[in-house]
Amino acid sequence: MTKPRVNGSLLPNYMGRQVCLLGMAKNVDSSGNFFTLTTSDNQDVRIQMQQPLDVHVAGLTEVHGQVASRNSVTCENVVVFSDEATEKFDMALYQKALELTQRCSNHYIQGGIMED
Amino acid sequence: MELSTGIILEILNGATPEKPTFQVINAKKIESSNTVDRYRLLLSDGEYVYSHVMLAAQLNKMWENNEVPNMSVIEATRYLCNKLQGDKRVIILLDLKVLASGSDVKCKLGNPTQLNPNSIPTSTPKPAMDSGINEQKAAVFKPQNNNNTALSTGNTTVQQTHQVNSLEKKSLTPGTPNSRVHSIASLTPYQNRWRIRARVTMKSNIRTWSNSKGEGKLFNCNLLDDSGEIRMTGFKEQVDKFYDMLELNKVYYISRCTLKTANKQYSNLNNDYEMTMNPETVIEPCNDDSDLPVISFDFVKLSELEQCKPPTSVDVIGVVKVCNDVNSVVGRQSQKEILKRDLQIVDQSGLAVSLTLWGDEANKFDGQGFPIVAVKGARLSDFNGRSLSVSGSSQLIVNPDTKEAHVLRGWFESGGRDQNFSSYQSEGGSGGGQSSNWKTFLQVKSENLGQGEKADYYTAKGTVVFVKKDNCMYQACPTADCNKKVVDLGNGQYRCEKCCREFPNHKWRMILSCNVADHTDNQWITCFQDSAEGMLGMKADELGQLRETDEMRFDQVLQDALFKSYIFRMRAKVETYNDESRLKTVCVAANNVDWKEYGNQLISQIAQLGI
Repeated sequence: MTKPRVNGSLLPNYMGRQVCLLGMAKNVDSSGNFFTLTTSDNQDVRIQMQQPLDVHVAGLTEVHGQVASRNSVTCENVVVFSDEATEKFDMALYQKALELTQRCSNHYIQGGIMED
Repeated sequence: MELSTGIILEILNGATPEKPTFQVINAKKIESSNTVDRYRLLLSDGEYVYSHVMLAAQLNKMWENNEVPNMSVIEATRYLCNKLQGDKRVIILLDLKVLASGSDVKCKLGNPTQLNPNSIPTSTPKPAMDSGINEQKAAVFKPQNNNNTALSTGNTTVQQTHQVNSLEKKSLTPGTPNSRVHSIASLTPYQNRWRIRARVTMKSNIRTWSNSKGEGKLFNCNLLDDSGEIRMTGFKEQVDKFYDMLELNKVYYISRCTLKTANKQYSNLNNDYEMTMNPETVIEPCNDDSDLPVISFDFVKLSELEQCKPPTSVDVIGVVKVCNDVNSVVGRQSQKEILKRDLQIVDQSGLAVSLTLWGDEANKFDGQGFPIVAVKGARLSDFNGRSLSVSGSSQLIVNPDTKEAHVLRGWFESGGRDQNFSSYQSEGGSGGGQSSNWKTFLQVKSENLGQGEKADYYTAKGTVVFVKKDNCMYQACPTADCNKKVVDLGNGQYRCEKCCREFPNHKWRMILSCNVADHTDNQWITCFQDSAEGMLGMKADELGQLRETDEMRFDQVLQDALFKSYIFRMRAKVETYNDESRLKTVCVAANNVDWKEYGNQLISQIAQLGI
């Protein structure tokens, strides 16, 4: 099973499926049950944790999980990048790359299950 | 119809009778590929027929329009007689009036005999000659005022009397009456008694030369009047004499320069001739310049430079947005140090273009306060897309008092200075700054890079897949600029054959062969010192030590260099050794991949695919 990289506005097309979502984290719930991810197309997506977060989530964050609704994802795995990576990351370029993988999906061939 | 019988002989012997009448027996067009066509006439005065008669080029149209058919009787209102080399004498008709058309005269008047140009008899003064010209004749019987004559005589006494008499002569010489001004268009090498009134529209810096024949200096300027323009060059003493006196945009009376066919290589003026100052040259300022045309610009907007095909000359005007410091480059041919200063100029079209000043102009330029520069005849090249240079034939004017400059200043002060300017880019892909011409290794092969006369440069992203350990470094001469391999003498001394010296030490130089690959193909490349050190992450001297002391770690360093990716700048050229040709690819630089930049590069490449 693949986890295609998506952005906020693509979520409705992937209802119930596994996706990979990259964005900037904010509004982390004080008990660590959910947070908000601002995706590359500037959409806010609610990330619902299955267990409370055990890491500090901030800045550039990648979430693997199942699309629960048009604007929420149930998190299975979370990757937090360093401050330095957050600083250097070019979100606009990532958005362009995403658009290309969607538009030319027959040229962007993804492998099997992403490993943790 | 009366001809001025015997007048040809008079003229050839130096007299300048007024308004002589001749019959034109014949006219022949002399076609010329590098200058204008000229007409040569066969002229009769009833006594003699003379064939060395030239028509001033501005009268050509009279013959072209057939206004002067053969056998016409004419009055020479202005004419000259010049002595050429070998004592040949040529009569030049500067202006004439047709008294009777050849279609009416129909036949040759009188029974003139052909005058042999090589043996012209001296004239016997005729009592019947026009009075009033005797005075002039006396003056003309002196050696010709033409400096060639003066120089070629080699007779110092003649030259001295010349100089002593020069003041007196100036007023007496009939060909140079103070009142008469010639037009630039009428100047030819066949006449030497002229005087023009012209505006200086360009004045170069003083340039110097030094070669096996000696050294010297020169400058040149362009002169303009309402008939046309001409280039004037001064050497050595004339530089000292006239350089400071001649000011841009001022008007001068100029006479007695040497005219010659223009060398179009150095001049873009619309004139078949150019002139050189000589020791006899006279230049006097003229205060009344109201009627002369001024320097005219044909400004090209910076955004329109794209439509101009380099190399060419253009007139531009712009605000100096960036003024870099003076630096120096070494001329490729002269091996001399040349000062240069790069400016960036902008205009209302929203573009910024680099403009380079050279030499003294670069040194003296003051970029304070965003000056406006106008350049007449700036050299346009396609370096970095489009760039401009103030060359020897260009004229730079700082803060000119023209309408365009005022409009430009107004725009700049009212917000133009805060605008973002775009600039021209080198062709062949963007994003990489100067590193353009992106290729895959498959393209390098399919497009036969390096097979041409000149080496091809390209940029490729590649991954190091193999590094050759053998001969990857050598012991080199420790002298700073010498990288020659040294011979280990076995006694702790190393000998450099190039420097012919022995040293107790040596330095290590890298010559690393690598195989690099991308998704299409791979390529053997050679990396020298800097790029090899960068890829191995270690200085050559340190690595050399390692090679001799700890081979395991040395191998590890080479091993660690594998499977790393770089943006390679390559130089590809086929080289032939022993009749065997092979492509030699040298790595000019191996830079770590800037992923943002490379990502944008890929996106623009994908966009070009049109998918």
